[in-house]
Amino acid sequence: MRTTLLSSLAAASILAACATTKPVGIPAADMGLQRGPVLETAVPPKLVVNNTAPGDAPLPARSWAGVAPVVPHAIADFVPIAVKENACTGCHSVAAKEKGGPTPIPRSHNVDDRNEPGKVATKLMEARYVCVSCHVESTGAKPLVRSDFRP
Amino acid sequence: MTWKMTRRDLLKAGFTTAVVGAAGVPLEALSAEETKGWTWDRGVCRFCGTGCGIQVATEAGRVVAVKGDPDCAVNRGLLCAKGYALPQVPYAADRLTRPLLRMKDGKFDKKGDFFPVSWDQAFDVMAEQWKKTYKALGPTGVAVMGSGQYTIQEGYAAVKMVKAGWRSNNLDPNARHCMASAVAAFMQTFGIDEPAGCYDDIEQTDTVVLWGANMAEMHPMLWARIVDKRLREPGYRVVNLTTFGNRSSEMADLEIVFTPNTDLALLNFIAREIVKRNAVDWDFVNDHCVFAAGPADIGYGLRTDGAKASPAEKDVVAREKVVVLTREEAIGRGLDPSKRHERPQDVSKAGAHWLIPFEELKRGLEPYSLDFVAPLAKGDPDEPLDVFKKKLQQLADWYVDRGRKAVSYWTMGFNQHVRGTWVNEQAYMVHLLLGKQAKPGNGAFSLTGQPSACGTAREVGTFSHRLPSDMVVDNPEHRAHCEHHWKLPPKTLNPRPGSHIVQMMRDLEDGKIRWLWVQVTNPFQSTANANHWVPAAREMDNFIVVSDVYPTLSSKVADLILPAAFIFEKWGGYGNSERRTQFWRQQVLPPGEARSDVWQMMEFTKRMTIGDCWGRQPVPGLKVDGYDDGFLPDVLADAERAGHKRTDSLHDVLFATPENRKVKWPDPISAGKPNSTVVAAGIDWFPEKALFEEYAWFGRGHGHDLAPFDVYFGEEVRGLRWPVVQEKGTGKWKETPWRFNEKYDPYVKAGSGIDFYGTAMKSLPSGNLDQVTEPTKTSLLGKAKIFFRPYATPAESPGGEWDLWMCTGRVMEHWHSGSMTRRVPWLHAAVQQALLWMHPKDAESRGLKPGDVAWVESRRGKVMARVETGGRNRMPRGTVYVPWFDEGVFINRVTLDATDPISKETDFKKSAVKVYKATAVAGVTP
Repeated sequence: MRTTLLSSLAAASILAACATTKPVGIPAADMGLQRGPVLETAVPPKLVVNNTAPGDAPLPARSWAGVAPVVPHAIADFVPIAVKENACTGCHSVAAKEKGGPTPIPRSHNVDDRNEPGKVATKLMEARYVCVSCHVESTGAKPLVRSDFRP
Repeated sequence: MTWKMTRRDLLKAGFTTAVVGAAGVPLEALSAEETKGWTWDRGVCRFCGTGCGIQVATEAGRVVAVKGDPDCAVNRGLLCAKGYALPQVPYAADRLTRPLLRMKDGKFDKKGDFFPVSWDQAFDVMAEQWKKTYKALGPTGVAVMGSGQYTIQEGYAAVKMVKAGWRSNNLDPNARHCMASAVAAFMQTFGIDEPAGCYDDIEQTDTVVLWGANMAEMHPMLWARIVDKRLREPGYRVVNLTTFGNRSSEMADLEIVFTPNTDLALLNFIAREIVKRNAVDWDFVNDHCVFAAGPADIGYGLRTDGAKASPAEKDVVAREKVVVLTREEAIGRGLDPSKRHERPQDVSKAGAHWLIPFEELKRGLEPYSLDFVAPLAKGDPDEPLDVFKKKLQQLADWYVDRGRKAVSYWTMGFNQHVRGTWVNEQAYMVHLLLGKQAKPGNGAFSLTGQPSACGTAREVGTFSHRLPSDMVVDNPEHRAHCEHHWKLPPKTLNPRPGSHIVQMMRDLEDGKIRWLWVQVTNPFQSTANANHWVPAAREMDNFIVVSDVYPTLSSKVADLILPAAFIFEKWGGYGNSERRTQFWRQQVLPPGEARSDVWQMMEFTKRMTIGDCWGRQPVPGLKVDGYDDGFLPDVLADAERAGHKRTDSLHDVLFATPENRKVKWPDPISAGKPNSTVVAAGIDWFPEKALFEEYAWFGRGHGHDLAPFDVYFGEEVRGLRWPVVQEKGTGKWKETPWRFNEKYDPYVKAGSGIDFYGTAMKSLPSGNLDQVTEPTKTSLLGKAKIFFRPYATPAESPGGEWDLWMCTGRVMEHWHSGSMTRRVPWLHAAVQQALLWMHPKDAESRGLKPGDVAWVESRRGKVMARVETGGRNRMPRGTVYVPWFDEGVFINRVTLDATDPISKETDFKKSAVKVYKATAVAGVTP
C-alpha cells in the first residue's frame, strides 16, 4: 500500500523519466451520453422525426437475424392500437410481399406457444396484437455512441 | 407504389380487427441461425420485473442473438423491444474496461480528471480511503448503494461484506425507490413479503384492474397475456386507473383518470361499497382476517432540520412538522371540515398499528361516499362529474360481483407515494373483504419493477434494516441466527438500522457518510432533489466509487470508476415478480479488465481484516439491551477463541470459508461455459454456487425455500416459484403457484384452507381508529390485516406559481436511466429524448407548441424539455409527465425527496411545477 509520499515520489520519477509522454486524463464532462458538467442545464437537441408515409422509406437492415424489425414509416397516424382498431394489421395482414407494399406479418406470429403450442393458425395470435410493444419506429437519429455489435 | 393513407383513411376503408383474420400469411425463414454455428443457452432478460425467459446465442466469443424462450411460462417465446435489444447492449464503444481514478500529479485528487489505473492501484486507494473513514466515523461513516438489478449472489456478497464484515447497516438498494412501500405493506398485512399469487392469475381471472401502473409500457409481456385474454374471452374486463391516459387505456374497457393521491379515497370508496352492499365474504374474513388502524399524522419523510433546505423549499419542508388539514382530509378523517385542524406530525411511530373492531373500520369508511370521493378524485377537469361517478360505480360493481374474480395490479403509482404503504394495504383491504385473495385468479398482486428486486434485494435482504429471508437487524433472534450460520461471534451484527438510500444522500450532504460504493445502479440520476446530492458528492470531503458497465451520470460524480461485467459475462440468478427464480451461466468473457461485482467484493475485502472491524465500534444512537449505548462491543476475543486471528482478512472469513471452498470449480453444471470470477480470483472453487447455497439455507424450511443450484439448470426447468419443496417419494422439486392456499402451498396448516402464516407483527394491542385503548397484545397468527387508512394529500400540491402536477416515470423503449437502452441505436432512434407531455390547452396558454423547448421548474430546480401534446400519453389539463431515462433532461433536479414515512420510498409521482417557454439560452436558440 502506497503512502502519499511514495506516490508523489513515484509520480515525480515517472514524470522525470517520460517527460514527453504525460498521461492524459479524461474529464468527467467528456464521459457518458450527455457531454458537459452534470449540473449544466442542456438544451435538448432537435428531434429527428420520421415524416414518411408507408412505402416511402426503405426497410432498414436488421441489426441481427431474428430481431423484431423496426417500422420504417411514421406511426403517428396509425396508433393507438386499440381493441377495435389495429391499423397495423389493416395493411400488414397480406399474403406476400409486393414491391413497394407492406411487409407481411410472418407466420411465426400465428403460432401461439401458450394456448396451442406448435400449431400454425391462420391468424395473428392475440398476445402479439399490440405491435408497438416489440416494433418501434425508426428515425434518422444518429446513435449517441458508436455500436460495435457484430451479428 | 407509394401509400399516403392516414389512419382515418384506413378506418374509413373498413380496416378493423376483422382484418386480423386474413388467411394466407406467408412463410418466414425461421432456421437461418442453425446454419450459422450459434450456441444457445438459457437466460433471463436484463430489464423489468416481468422476468421473461430468453435463449441467448453466442458465436466466436460474442453474443449475437436472443429469442424469447418458448418453454418459459412467463413469456412463451415473446419479447418486448428492450428484450430484443439485449445482444447489442454490451457492445457500445464507451464500455468501461479499466478502473478510472481522479488524479492530479499521479495521485488521487477529487478535482482531477479520470486516469486509467490498475485494479491493484484502484483497490489500494479505495481501501486507504475506506480505512480513513472507518477509523474516523466507524460503521456509520461508510455505505453501499446496491440494487434490485444485483444478481442474487452479488446481493448476498454485499450483505455479508457490509453487515458481517463492516458491522454497518448502511446497505440499501435502489429498490428503496421502487418496492419499499410494497414490502412494508406485505410485512404489515401478511407478516411475510411477496405476492401470494403468480402470473397464472392473468389466465385464471376475468377482471383485471390496473392501479397507477402503465403495464402496456412497463410490463409489456405481461400485458400481452392480458391482451390475449381480453381479445379471446368475451366478459374479460380490464380497468385502467391512472392519472393520465396512456397505452394501457387503449386496450382497457374502462379508463378512470384520477387526481394524484386520491387513490387513497378511491379504495375507501370501493371498500365502503363492499360493506354497504353486504358483499363482505364473512366466512373468509372471520376465519382469516382482523382489522387494524394506525396513526395518521406521520409527515412526509422530509428533513426536519431544514438546515440544508434552500429558501424556496422551506414552506414544503415545514409540512414535515405541522400540517393544516385540507377540507377533504378533514372529512376523510371524520372531522368537522368547517374547523381548522392543525396537526403536528410525528414520524417516530409511523409504522405502529393496532387491532380495531369491524365497527371502527366501518366508521372510518363512512365519509367515503360517491358524492364525497368523485369530485375529489376526478382527475380530468374536462370530464363531466356524472360520467366519472358512473365509472366508479362500474368499478365497484365489477369488484363486488360474486360471479367475477378480480386481480388488481400496481407498481410505481402505488409504491412511489407518500402514503405508499397505506395504499398497498388498501388494495389488500378490498381483496380481503371480498375473499378474493390467495386463490387462482383472485388477488391483489404487487408487480415488481426491477428484474431482481424480489430475488435479490428483498429475499437476500440488501436493505438498511434487513437480513436474509425477511429477517431484520433489530430482532435479536434474527441476528443470532445469522451470526450462527455465518460463524460470527455473538454481537458482531449491528442492531441499529442504517441509512436508507435517501438518508444516505442526506448523510453525504451532512458529512456523516464519507465513503460510498455504488453498485449496479445510477443513484445520482435516480434520486429526487438531485441539486443537493451532486454537489455533496463532488465538493465535500468524501470518496465515491461507482461500479458499472458504462459511464453514467453517477460515474461522472464519482472519484473512482470500476468496470463491471455485464449479465452475459458472469454467472447469476434473478427472482421476478411472481417469485420465479431463474439462473444463467456465463456465456462470454467480459471485455478488457471488466470484472464481476462478486469478484470486486471478494477482492476488496482482502484488504481489510477482522482486526480493522471487529473491535469496539461507535454507532451513534444505538440504544439496545445488552449493548453499551452508542457502541458495538469488541468481539475479537471471541473470534480468536473460535480459531480466527486478528489478521484474518474479511475475504477469508466471509467468502473463502472452508465450506465454500468445498464447492469446486470446474463443475459439470457449467456445460463448458467459462467463469471469469474464478479465473480472475485464481481459485478452484465456485463462488456463485457456494454463495447461493450458503444463502439458500436461510429460507429452506421457513417458507422461502429455493431448490439446489443445479436444479435450476434442469432440461425442463425455466425457473421455479418458491417455496420450492422436494416431493416425498418422487424426489421431484415442486414450486408454489399460490401461497397461503392449502391446495398449493406446502406450508399451509392442514385443514385450514387459507393460512396467512407469516409471523412478523402478528401480536398487537387493540384500540379504535385514533389510538390504542387496550395494551394487552392479542396473537393473530394465521391471519391477515384489513387496514383502515384515511385520505391524505401529498407533500406538495399545485398552488400559486407552481400550478401544475408533475409526474415522472418511464417509456417502454428505455430502461431506467437509459445507460443500456440509449446505447442501442434503434432504441435511441425510436425515443431520442425525454419529452414534457402536457395537455394541448396547457401548452397553448403558455405559448407553447409541440417541439418547443420549455422550462420545467419547481421550488428545487429546473430543466429544459421539449413539449409533446400528443403521442402515447393523453394528459389531463393540470398535469404534466416527464420520463427520467435521459441524463440530458435531468428531471430529478425538479422532483421532491418526500417519502412514505413508513417505507422511506420517494414519491416521484407528485410535485408542483411551473412550465414556461425557454427563450435563447447561452447563445443556443431552442
